[in-house]
This record gives sequence, structure tokens and C-alpha cells, in this order.
Amino acid sequence: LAPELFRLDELGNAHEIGDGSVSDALAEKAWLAKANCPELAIEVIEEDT
Amino acid sequence: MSTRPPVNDWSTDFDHLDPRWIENPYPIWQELRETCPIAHTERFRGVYFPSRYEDVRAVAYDTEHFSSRRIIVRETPPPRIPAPPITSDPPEHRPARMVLLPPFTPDAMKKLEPRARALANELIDKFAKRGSADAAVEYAQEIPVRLIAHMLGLPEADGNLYRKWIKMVLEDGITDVSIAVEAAGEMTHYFMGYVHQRTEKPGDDLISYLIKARHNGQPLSVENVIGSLRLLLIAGIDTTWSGIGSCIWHLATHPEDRRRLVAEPALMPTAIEEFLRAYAPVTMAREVVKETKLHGCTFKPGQMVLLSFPAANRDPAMFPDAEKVIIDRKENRHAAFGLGIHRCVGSNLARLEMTVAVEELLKRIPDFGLAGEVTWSEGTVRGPRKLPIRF
Repeated sequence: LAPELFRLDELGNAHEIGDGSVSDALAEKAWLAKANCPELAIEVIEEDT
Repeated sequence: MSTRPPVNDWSTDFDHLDPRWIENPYPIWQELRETCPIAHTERFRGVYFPSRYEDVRAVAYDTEHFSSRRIIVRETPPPRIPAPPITSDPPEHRPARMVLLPPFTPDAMKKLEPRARALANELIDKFAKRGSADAAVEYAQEIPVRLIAHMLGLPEADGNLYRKWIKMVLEDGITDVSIAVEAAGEMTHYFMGYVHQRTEKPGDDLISYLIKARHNGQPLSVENVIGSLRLLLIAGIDTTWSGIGSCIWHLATHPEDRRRLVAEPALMPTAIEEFLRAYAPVTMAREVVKETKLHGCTFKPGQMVLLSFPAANRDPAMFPDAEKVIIDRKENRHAAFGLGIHRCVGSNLARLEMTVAVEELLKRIPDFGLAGEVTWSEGTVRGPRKLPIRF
């Protein structure tokens, strides 16, 4: 769903790329990933910039 | 199944082998969710049935009270048939699972895609000119059988043997456990030959991979290797065959969705997720090992819990318009692959097989409909077993 935001390790588990901060352009993808994670493992934190 | 006593009350006497449950369980689950969200039956020596998403999730996450050492509800007490990691609890579970993950990553699956597409087309070639086919028998079931055989480095022609074992373990073995045990014995014998052969002469296949695998520097026991092979064969075939069959059944009975997918192929990923949600094939089970309570319902040790991911996936509290199939559903945290530590290791393979099967079929035969009576499997895995289509 959002390969720009997550990478897979050798076991196929997804991890956030870098420190997990998301550019405005990709914000929608972050919400989409959260809305489709069956384990509820994704949290999206909004910060004012 | 006509010999089974009929069910009069689903909340206190349910039977997942009842013909009505096999044919169309969704209205039964909907009623239970509203009237008795954790149903119970004295049949099968005592089984609970949570039908709401949150309760299915709670049981799946609670490995302290609910054990995976028995994952199929059977009429008679089992001798257990270990197939790690699906039949393992912590702490044994984790190492057995870790070993199986690398061969099933999305990257590993990409390498399989060309073979999967070629295979789908070879199968379609056989019936394309006929104008009709049994999409369950001639198409859906062949794809996972041949692809898993390909991954394990086994003859694709042994598919009939695998299907026989699967039926013995997952269907006939529910009411007569000796049939399941017999199948497990035959599978052990079959795989043992290959394990010896690949130990001598390793290849680029999953059996050789398991033989070479190390945990803390130690090789897996032969028992563990054979158990995992049994799991891959059983879990890798019946489930996806059912998933593919349900996709085709939906498209045969919902021409508007079929036409939309042909016109907008970019919808395929969300459509496949929606089919997985709405027609999730797999219901697992747990054995209660310590007394516990959930929403006022006491779970007694020794009894089983039918862990219905398909029922969880139809819970309107989790999925708006849960009974409706919406092929562009944006938010879809479905539980078709299970939840928690036992989440399906083969989910990427299943997704690949389902996507390829539907894409290639729609490319070659964009217009088709049902041509006769559909029959559904009974027991642990739900999907069409006869699916006549006309085009």
C-alpha cells in the first residue's frame, strides 16, 4: 500500500523507513496504511509544522 | 450430513457441519452476533463460538488461556497431529515460525509470479474453447496445488494425492479422527523419502531449505521438518483453492463487479482484499487450557473454541455494510489471515495466487456466469467445491 513509508525485513515484517516522519505529500498513504493494518500496529501522529 | 441431528437453536446447539451452515452461514452468524455473541454447543464435546470481531480478536491474542495444540474441532478426542508452528504455543512457536517466514516474503513471491501466470494460462487453455468449465475443479484447485508442489520441488502430478490427504484431514477426519491420523501417516512416509533424498542432494526448493535451516546453530529435528511440510501442504492448498473459488463465484454471480474489474483493473488489490474479507475461507480453533471469562461468558478448560475469522470479517461494528461486497472498500482491516502470533505465514503467496488467478481469468474470459449447482466444502475451510460456469 505504501512502499514509500515502509520497508520489509528479511522475514517480511514491515518497519517504518527512517525515523517514521511522513511528508505532506505522503500523508494520505500513511492514513491508508493505518486503515488497513489488521494488527492495528500503525499509529499516525499529527504535528503542527 | 443427513444423519446429524438437526439444529433447533444456533446459540445453544450450533453445528458447523449442519447443511444450512455449510450452504450459507452468514445469516446464522448475523443472528448470533445480535442475540448471543458467544454461542455454545454440547456437540463435538463442547465448543464455544464467538461471532463478533472483538471477541475473535481477544481469543486469538490470548495464548495463555487458549492453546493452539488443537486447531480443528473434531467429533472424537485427537491424538494430536503436530504441524509447527500452527499447532505450537509460546515459547516453541516463535523459532518454528521464524524459520518459515523468509521463503514467503513479498520479494520471494515476486519470483514465483511468472510461473503462476503461465500455470493459470495453461489451465485456461484446457477449457477456453469449450464454453464451460468447473472453475473450482479445473482452475481454482489446480493453481495452489501446482504452485506449492513447485515450491517444495515435488512432482506437480502428485496433486491428486495431496487433495486426498487434505480431504482426509480437514473433512472426513472431523467425524472420524482415524482417517486424519491415517493421512498424517501417509504424508510422513511420503515426505520422509524426499527429506532423505534432499539431505543427500540438496536443491533450490523448500524441503532443502528446511533441512538446511538452523535455529541457534542447531538444525531442525526431522519431526519438525516433516510437521512443517505437512502444514505447508495442507494450509497452502485447500485455503487458497477456496479463496480463488469464492472470488470466481462472486464474479459469476455479480456481473456489475465483474464488468467493473475488467474496466478498472487497478481496483484488483482492493477487490482481492474485499473478497478475502467477505469470503474468508479459514476457521481455526483453540483449546481452552485455563478457565477465563469474556463478556460474562466462562470458557471451561478442555472445551474448544471455534475461531471464525469469516464471522469476525462480517461484523458490522468493525466493517460498515459488512454484508455487502464493496470492491473499492478503502478501510479493510480484515482478519482472513488470522490475528496475532499465528497470522498466516503464506499470506503473500495466497494474495499472489488469488490475484493472478482472477486477473488471468478475466483477461481470457471476461464474461461468464453460473451454469449449474454450486457445492461448498464443509468443516474448517469454506469454498466452492463444484463451480460450473458458462461463457
